[in-house]
Amino acid sequence: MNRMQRIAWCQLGFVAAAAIFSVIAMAFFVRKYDYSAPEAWWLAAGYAVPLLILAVIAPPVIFRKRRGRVDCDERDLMIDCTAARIAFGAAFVFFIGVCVTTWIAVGVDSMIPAVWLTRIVYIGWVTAVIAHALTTVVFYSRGGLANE
Amino acid sequence: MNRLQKMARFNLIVILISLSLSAIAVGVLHFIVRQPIQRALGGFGFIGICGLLGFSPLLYKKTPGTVSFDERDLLIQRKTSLRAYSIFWFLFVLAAMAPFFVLGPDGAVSVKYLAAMVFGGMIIVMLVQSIVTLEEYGWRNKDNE
Repeated sequence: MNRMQRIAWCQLGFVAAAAIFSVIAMAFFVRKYDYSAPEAWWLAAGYAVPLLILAVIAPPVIFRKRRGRVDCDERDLMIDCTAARIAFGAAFVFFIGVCVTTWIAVGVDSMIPAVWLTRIVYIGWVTAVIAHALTTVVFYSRGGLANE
Repeated sequence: MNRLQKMARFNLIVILISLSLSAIAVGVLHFIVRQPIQRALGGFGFIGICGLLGFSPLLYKKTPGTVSFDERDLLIQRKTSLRAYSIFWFLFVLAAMAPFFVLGPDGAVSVKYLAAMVFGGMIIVMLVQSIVTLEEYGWRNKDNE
């Protein structure tokens, strides 16, 4: 595996860990403190934010560029560029989908809590991280052993 | 001009006309007709002119039998979409966080605000894509045929 593949797998690992942590924490809050499931979920998701921040910051630090070696070529740049576009596109589609769904579900003349907007941004960010990492993994998996 | 330049120019003209007419309509309704701002915002109906953006691929069709798209065009297209989405993301996050800080965590916003974010986002993406396309190719460069 090259550096970008390792970073992508590491990011997917962190996001999976954040999801599992959120589910466990949600179950804990529901059992111990009698929160409703949606309230417990958002509380747990809030506690998972450090893991998600680590998903973005930690992998490039853990898998540092090695001095004196060529770590990145034109194909790597193209894959990174494509992954970024797909990540943005996925977040864009998510934002549009959520906004239109809310519009249809509650009606144009309704009000929604302001905190919902921050949740939309949060989930859109997670969507972008997952889409970027998955795209990187899929594109490199097409290259076989030529990725070393 | 090549096909992408023509489409970008068309999109830019349509967006600028719709935004200008909307701003003029809101200004006239609020400052001259003395409508309250909630009613004056109806002037943004001129944004509907942006529906013409869907016609740009039909107006500037691909010429059959000719090569109209090469690696340079692909690189430019990738650059424009990355920049457009980057700016959209930044502005969308700003628009989403602003009510939370202005109104507080217990505040509420109208669903119309969400609709404005969606349509505003789409217009921003198309506007930035058009501007960056014309910047990369040149605003009037005839060597791109």
